[in-house]
Amino acid sequence: MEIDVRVATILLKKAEPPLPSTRFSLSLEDGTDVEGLIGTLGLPPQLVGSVTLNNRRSPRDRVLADGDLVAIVPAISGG
Amino acid sequence: MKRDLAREIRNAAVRRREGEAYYWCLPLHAVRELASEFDSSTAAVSLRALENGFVPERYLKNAGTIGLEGQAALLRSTVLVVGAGGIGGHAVELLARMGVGRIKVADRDVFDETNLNRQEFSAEDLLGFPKVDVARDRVLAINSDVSVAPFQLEVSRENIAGLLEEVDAVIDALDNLDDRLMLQEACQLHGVVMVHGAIAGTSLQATTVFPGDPGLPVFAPSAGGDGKTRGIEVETGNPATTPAISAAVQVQEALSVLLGRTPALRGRMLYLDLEDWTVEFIDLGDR
Repeated sequence: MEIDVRVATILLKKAEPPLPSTRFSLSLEDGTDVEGLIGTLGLPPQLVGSVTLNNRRSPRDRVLADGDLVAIVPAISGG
Repeated sequence: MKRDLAREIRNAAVRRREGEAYYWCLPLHAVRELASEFDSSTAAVSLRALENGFVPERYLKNAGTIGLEGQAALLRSTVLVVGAGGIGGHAVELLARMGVGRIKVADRDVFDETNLNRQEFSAEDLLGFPKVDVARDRVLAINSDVSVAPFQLEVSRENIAGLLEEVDAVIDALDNLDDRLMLQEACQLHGVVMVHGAIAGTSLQATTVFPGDPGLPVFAPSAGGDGKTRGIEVETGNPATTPAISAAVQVQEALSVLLGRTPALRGRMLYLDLEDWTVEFIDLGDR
């Protein structure tokens, strides 16, 4: 399946290896869930705050489908 | 002859043009003189003026947006600001300038040097002073209509119920996830609207949570040295601009709550990165 991904700028350099862009398409094996996507992108799970699937907040165990739009924003809690 | 406050307000009022509209305004010196003469607070004089169609001149620039009734509603309102750091300091100042009548502010800390880059009320000669006491003094100097109740304490499950008494809206200006979730739970329990905001580097997020709404997302814990869960701000720090904008967003949401309007961020969370203006609106699900 092919999905569209948006990653917040602040997270790009936190990925291993670093992600080159905030917006890209990605081919994934069928059955991959949100947690699996975070792993594929090399993002430290503890730095991920909200994940949205087609603009709605999504749990980490939601299985992705072809054509999905996933946005990943960081865990932030400063005041 | 016994003097009547409403009549004295009318006698002291001056006409001011504001765009296409004209307002009868009450200058600050008149508000002060009448408060003294009638042995009342300036807030009581301001409220009496608004109820009779006169705008205290200090609020003239609010009038076009919120009206006289809205201004009176703000003067009768109470907001609790939890945390008096980067977001909290700016939030207290904005609430005071808008004329929110009563501000409760809670924070256990005193100012230290690392606060000087961003915290509104911090200053070199105020290092070591309790943040909430400085906030109270500053508000007194800005707007005598506003009373500040300072609480120098760490907000906890044990004291939050007392802090939430007679509060119309809460500004979440805390600095860790655990306390935010505790505050959210208490607000839900006591039926109070919480306006959340958090910052990290040039990023911020904000949402307004009504009782019964799904509320804040819970991210995977990364406990800090004090056992509190924090996010990426541990690495990015908190520069000056982000807390100012988060506070402005949150206070605007709180004003909507106080004025009976629909807050724009109910049921969805704004994520904004000021460095490249990445903007996401995250639908938080059904209410």
